[in-house]
This record gives sequence, structure tokens and C-alpha cells, in this order.
Amino acid sequence: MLQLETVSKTYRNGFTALEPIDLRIEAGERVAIVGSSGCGKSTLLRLAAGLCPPSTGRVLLHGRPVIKPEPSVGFIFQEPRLMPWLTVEQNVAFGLRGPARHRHASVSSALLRVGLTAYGHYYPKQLSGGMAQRVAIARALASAPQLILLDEPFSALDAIKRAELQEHFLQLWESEQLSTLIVTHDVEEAIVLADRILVMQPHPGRITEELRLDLPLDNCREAPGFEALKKQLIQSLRPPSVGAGQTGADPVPFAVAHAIHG
Amino acid sequence: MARFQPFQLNPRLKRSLIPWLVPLLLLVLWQLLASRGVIPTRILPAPSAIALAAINMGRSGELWGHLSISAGRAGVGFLIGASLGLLFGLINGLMPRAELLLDSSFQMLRNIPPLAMIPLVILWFGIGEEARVFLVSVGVFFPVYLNTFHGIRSIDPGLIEMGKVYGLSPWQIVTNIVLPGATPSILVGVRFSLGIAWIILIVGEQIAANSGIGYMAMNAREFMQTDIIVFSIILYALLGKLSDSMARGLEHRLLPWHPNFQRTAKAVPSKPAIS
Repeated sequence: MLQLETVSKTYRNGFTALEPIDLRIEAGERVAIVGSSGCGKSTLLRLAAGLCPPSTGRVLLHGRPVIKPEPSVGFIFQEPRLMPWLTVEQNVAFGLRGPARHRHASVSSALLRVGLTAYGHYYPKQLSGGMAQRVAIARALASAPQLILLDEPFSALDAIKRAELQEHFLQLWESEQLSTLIVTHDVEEAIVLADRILVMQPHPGRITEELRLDLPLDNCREAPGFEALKKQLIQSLRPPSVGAGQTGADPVPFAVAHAIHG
Repeated sequence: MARFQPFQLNPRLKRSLIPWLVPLLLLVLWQLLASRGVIPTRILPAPSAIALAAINMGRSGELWGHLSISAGRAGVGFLIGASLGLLFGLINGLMPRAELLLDSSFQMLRNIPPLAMIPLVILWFGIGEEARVFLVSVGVFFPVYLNTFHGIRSIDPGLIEMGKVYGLSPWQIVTNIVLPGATPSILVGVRFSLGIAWIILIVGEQIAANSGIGYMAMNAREFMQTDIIVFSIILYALLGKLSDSMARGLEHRLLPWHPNFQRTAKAVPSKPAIS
């Protein structure tokens, strides 16, 4: 479905945000990219969405190159990014094309799916953070995308709301059969939401590890192996120089390495 | 046990009456002191005398003549100044190159008080209509310009990126995201500049004019008509308040989404329903 071929990004000031990366996402797959902040994972997502052009390589969607944002790809940001001057309904309809009746039907069904039918006439400022993010999800669903890209979608919420929305999103994924690519620094979120996890390291941004999970969808947090997986991922997220007691392999002293990496 | 309460007004009525209590008491005090001769009429005439002068001027038609002339000057000056302020605010807000070229010149001009230009303006335009309209336009330009510019620049870049995700063209981003987002700030500028328009007009009409409310007050001074002078001052206060209320009405109408103008309560989150 989505394919990244030796895609890299170097900014004009010479900073390499991303080393050449190959990535393939099949239909119905849930992929997560975990990495600490500044590792280039958001850049990767923006390249995949066609929001900025790659320095090398190309992004393909169904075999066709992506040069600008595609209507069949939804994007959910860390913040809801709702237009404050539009009602919930108008926000969900934002970016929808086609006849009014058709648009209206897409909006009501999207609001129904996130359980906000009763709030169609509210303005964003009247909503709580969790509700606003659900509106953002509804907006992404309304255009019936095949692929949804998520940039730390739940990290601005408290732990309870986050778990609730993650569950909710999984149910949506099951009923819609969406492909998703989620970028997060939250290891637990990656395990809960994905069936394939890619670990990214910064300076320069690159994928260092790939994991396939076979945990159950429901109550994945209670599944055996969840904690072990979490530990393993946290371990692989650490910069090599700060690895457990193995500084001998690294000629750079800890403090210097830390300064470089941090 | 309920205590006896002599005045049981409904709280909303009470809230709208209480602000008038102090002005009303002062007015009564003023009337009493003036009619007993404690305050000489030459210094400050009684409120009743001022009301009488107002009624007389209204009957003779003199009042409406001056009033419509002043309102016309304020209106035309405001329209010219605010349109230019909006235009340059949009240009400089949307195009950093235009900002680089123009903004520092505007900032220099902004620091010249419009009233300091009166001598020059009289030399340019004489004491005709153009002089006052020009002064008002200059005074109105800067608040509208600055607030439009600021409104455009303080738009959340995330919203613009959101627009790009949905494939909006640059022009659609301006009309669908930038302009609605800048409207609250633009309206603040409009409200602010309406007040400035009146202030500049008062001084302008008092110094160089042969009609308008400012002229009416200065003319009354020649004949020691204190009642008319005080009446014109009250008139300015009323006109200022009126235009401010109009601007507020505009805000309510254009910004139903803004938290400052909302009366409905926050939504109560509900459990998400899955279908």
C-alpha cells in the first residue's frame, strides 16, 4: 500500500534528519515507529504524507508517487488542530468534497463512530481535550481514508484518557480495516496499537530495529509477554553509548557522548 | 427563619440597576448644589439647564446639523483609515517581503501623534473637510494595521499545516484559515480605532472648523454658554459609547465561537460509542 524507497531528508542547513529508509506498509497493517524526541520520526511521517518532499528516494501509494497530500490518507496530529471558529460538525466536514448531502452523511457517520453525535453544534473551546481529539479522529475518518498517519496522537492527554482513546482507536481500526502508521515516543502505546514496531535512533535519524508482535487485540496490556516486550523496547531505544556497562566498545567518554546525543 | 427583605428584586434586574446608582446620586447632588447657588452657573450649570439647552438646540435643528457633520467626518475618516489599515495589515501579514519593505516605515510614522500634525494639515488642506478626515484616517490606520498584522501572524501554524493535509491551495488557506483566525484581532483594532477617531475629531473640530460638535463647543465658549459646552462634552461621551457598543455588537455577530462571547456551558464528555 504505502512504500518508502530509500527516502531521506537533509535540511537546507545541512542537518540530516533522516538517513535513507525503506519501509513498506501492507493493507490492514498497523505499524508503529518509536523513538525519542528529535530522532526524525515526525519528519518521516510528514514525508509519507506528502507534506514535504524527500531529499532522496520516493514515496509511493498504491505504486504511484506521492508529491502532495493524498485524499485517501488521513492525518491525526498530536493536538486536535480544530478550527476554533467552526462547530464540531463543520470541523469534521473540513476538507470534504462532493455534494452537500453526501458530505452531511459522512459527517454524521464519523461523529457516530466516535460517539459525539450530540455535540455537532458545539465549538471546539467548549470541549475537553479528549473530546477534541475524538473530533480530530472523526475528521480523519470522514474522508474514508485507507491509511491513517498518526503523530503522537494521544500524548497530550492524561493516562486514563489516553488508554481509553487507544482502546477506542483499536475498535475503530477493527471495524474499518484501516492501515495505520503511528509515530510515538510511548513504548506502551506502540505495543498496544501496532502489530509491527520499528525502533528509530537519532543523529542521524535511522531505523535500528524491527519487531513483529502477536499479542491479542483485547486487553493487550494484561497479555503475558507485554512487560518483557516493553523492557526490550526501552532497552533498544537507549543510545548505544549509554548501554548497560558496555562503554568499552565506545571510545567517546560518557559525558561527551551524552552532550553529542542529547 | 427567613429575614424580612424590603427590596426583593430579581438578581438580573439588580445587576443592571446597580451601576446607575452612583451617577444618579451625583446628578441629584449636582442639581441640588447648582440650584441653591453653591456652584455658580458660569462654572457649571445645573443638569436641568443643560437638558434645557439640549432640547432648545434640538428644536432649532442646530444640534442635528452639527451632529450629522461630526458623525460624517468620523465615519468617512474611519472608513478610509480602517480600509487602508486592513489592506496593509493583510499585505504585510501575508507577505514577509512586503513587511520587510514597509513595516519599519509604518512604525516610524506610528509614533507621530496625529494631533501634532495639525499645523501642517491646516497649511495643506486649510480648515476644510479634508483636514479633519485626513487626521481621523491617520489616527485610525495604525490600530487597524497593527491588529490585522498581529492577528495574521499569530495564527497557529498547526492549523495551516492541517489545511495543507486536506490539499487546500494557498488562496484557500488564506480565506478558510488565516482570515477567520485573524478576525478577533482585527475587530479589537476596529474597536480601538473607533475611540481614537472620536478623540481626534474633537480636537480637530475645536481648532480648525466652522461646524461640528467641537465647533459648537468652542463657539459656545465665546458667548460664555457653559451649558452648551458641557452638553457637547456629554455628547462626545455618548457618541463614543454608541460606537463602542456597535463594535461590540459586531464582535458578537462575527465571533459566536469565541469563548468571550459564549453563554453555553462546557460540554460533558460522554463515553465513545462504537458502531
